[in-house]
Amino acid sequence: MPVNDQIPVDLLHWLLALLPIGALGVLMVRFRWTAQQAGAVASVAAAAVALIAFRAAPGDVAIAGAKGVWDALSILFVIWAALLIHEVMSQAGGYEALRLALTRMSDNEMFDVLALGWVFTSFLQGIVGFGTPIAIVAPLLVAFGMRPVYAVVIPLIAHIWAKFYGTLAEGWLATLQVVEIDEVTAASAALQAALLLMIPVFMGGFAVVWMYGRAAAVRHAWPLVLVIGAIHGLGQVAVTLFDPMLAGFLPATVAMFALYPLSRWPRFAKPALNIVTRPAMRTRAQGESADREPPMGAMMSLFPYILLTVLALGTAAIPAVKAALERLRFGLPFPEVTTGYGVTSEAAAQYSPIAPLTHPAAALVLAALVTWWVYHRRGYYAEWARVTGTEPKGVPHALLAGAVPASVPIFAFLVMASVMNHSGQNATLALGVASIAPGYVVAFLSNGIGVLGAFTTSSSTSSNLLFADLQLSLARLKGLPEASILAAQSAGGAIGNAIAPANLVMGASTVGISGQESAILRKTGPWTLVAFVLTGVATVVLVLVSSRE
Amino acid sequence: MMGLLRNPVAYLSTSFVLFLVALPLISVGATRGPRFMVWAGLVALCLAALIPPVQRLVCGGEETGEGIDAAGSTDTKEAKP
Repeated sequence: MPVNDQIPVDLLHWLLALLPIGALGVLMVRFRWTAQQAGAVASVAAAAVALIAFRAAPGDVAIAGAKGVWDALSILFVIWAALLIHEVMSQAGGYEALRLALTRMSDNEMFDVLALGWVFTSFLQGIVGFGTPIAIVAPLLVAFGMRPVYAVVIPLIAHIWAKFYGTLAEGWLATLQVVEIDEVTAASAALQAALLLMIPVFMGGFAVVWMYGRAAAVRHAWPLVLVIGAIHGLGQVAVTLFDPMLAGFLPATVAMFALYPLSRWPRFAKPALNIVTRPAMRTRAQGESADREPPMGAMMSLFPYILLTVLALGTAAIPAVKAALERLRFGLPFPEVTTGYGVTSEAAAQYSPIAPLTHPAAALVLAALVTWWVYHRRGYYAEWARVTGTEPKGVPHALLAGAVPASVPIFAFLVMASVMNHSGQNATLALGVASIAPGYVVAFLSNGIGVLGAFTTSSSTSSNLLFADLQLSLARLKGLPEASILAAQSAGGAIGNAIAPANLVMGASTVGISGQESAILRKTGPWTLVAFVLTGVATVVLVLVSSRE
Repeated sequence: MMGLLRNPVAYLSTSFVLFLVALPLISVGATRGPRFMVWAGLVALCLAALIPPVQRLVCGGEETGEGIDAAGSTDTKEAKP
């Protein structure tokens, strides 16, 4: 989004541009409206502001809204696929088998929560994005005995550090697409982004431990958090120096392998009996045996996740396979539109084309369908229905019941984001802050613009596509080091995912608490605020250091 | 109408379908015409977006996050799995 001098930057327009986001936050947090209801109001508010105050014609708003619906489809494919894998597992007793397997890995419940909620989530983020790690891990944590809200909050916070360089550096590649910088600045921005992302690394680990068992858990687990945090954080910094593409994947994989030796550490091999308060967990005591014997063993319960990993790695890491599969792409055409304030969205013969065979949902769907077939052939569904004494709902019926309530708010959020972007409301918000703030304040707030982008679009990549170029322009206007400001945008774009409405909806839908996203937001909101402040301070330090060089 | 708004699956499915219907109407109408398709798409988008808040206003605070205790457990719905 380049700087356009016709965009209105005054208090009235700034407040009006803030209205949709403010309405969304207030309705969800203060009044506890569901994501469907609050998101719908916010999208209507964005359209009204665009029409009344930002000189957008009704046709412009319609095109922006349709593009938002199209953008939402990418996220919805993942949600539907994740729900499919969830139902395939759930109705076969797979989660019960997995829970048993996890409790046998270590007798220390807190270790298992960290392993699953932080390390496994980060590993998944290294290879598949679009919120897939949340959709996969949240139901696993519920199966492990965690309360549903915490089961969403923990992976949501824990995977933030890998958002920018995860999915084989999708966020980094998107940033390079929209900014024109020399190689030295690019290398410096990449390194500084990895340094800033050290903050969510350790904040993520300690937040997981705190949620699990408060201060007693922190006292017990701090060495483990420091070791895994060092692997994640320092690993990401180190790998950035030679290949940013692998900067998320490699350290996340190393941490996965490190779990086995760490589980032999006497401190974490036995139950932590000093942790009495476990607010994130349901009442099940450590070591309690299952009431119902699942029809499958540990390996069969892990089958879809192993298959998913193989498929995702195969399509992402082998260029020939990826290139062949990416040939199938499609998108809808849209004409160029320009608002009365000169904000132009270019025409596209195929707007934001989707490549269905390399989309993360493809691997999920294939893994789910193969697993469904295998489980069905082995008679797990009939056996689990007999053991539990329930009538099986059927996977398609349960999928439909979960997918529709999760889909409506995603449409609403992405329509809101698209209308705000097309009408120039996002640019007004960013330029408004920059116009009154001195240089160091802009540096402090720059990651907040990234957070804002991720919040409105529910995507760190979209945040970078929206704001990276604008941030670069602001850095030049204010005489700030470009690399540091781009790094702050990248970190903010990652951090904002913790409160991104689509992520809340996705997580809530996969653990069966659709409509209760506000409870999740009330826990991830404070974490995001602290991460924003710390990242802002660290950005100012980076600016000071860069200015002296 | 009230029956539709009291059934979450029904009103959310209606909203879902309207969002989807708006997409090709606006794309085709804006690039190839006729122009009324854009307007029809815009109406579909508006209706889709208005259904959830209207349901809230008409039927009250059903399906809210109320009922979740401080620890994040829920007593309003059975959690999966």
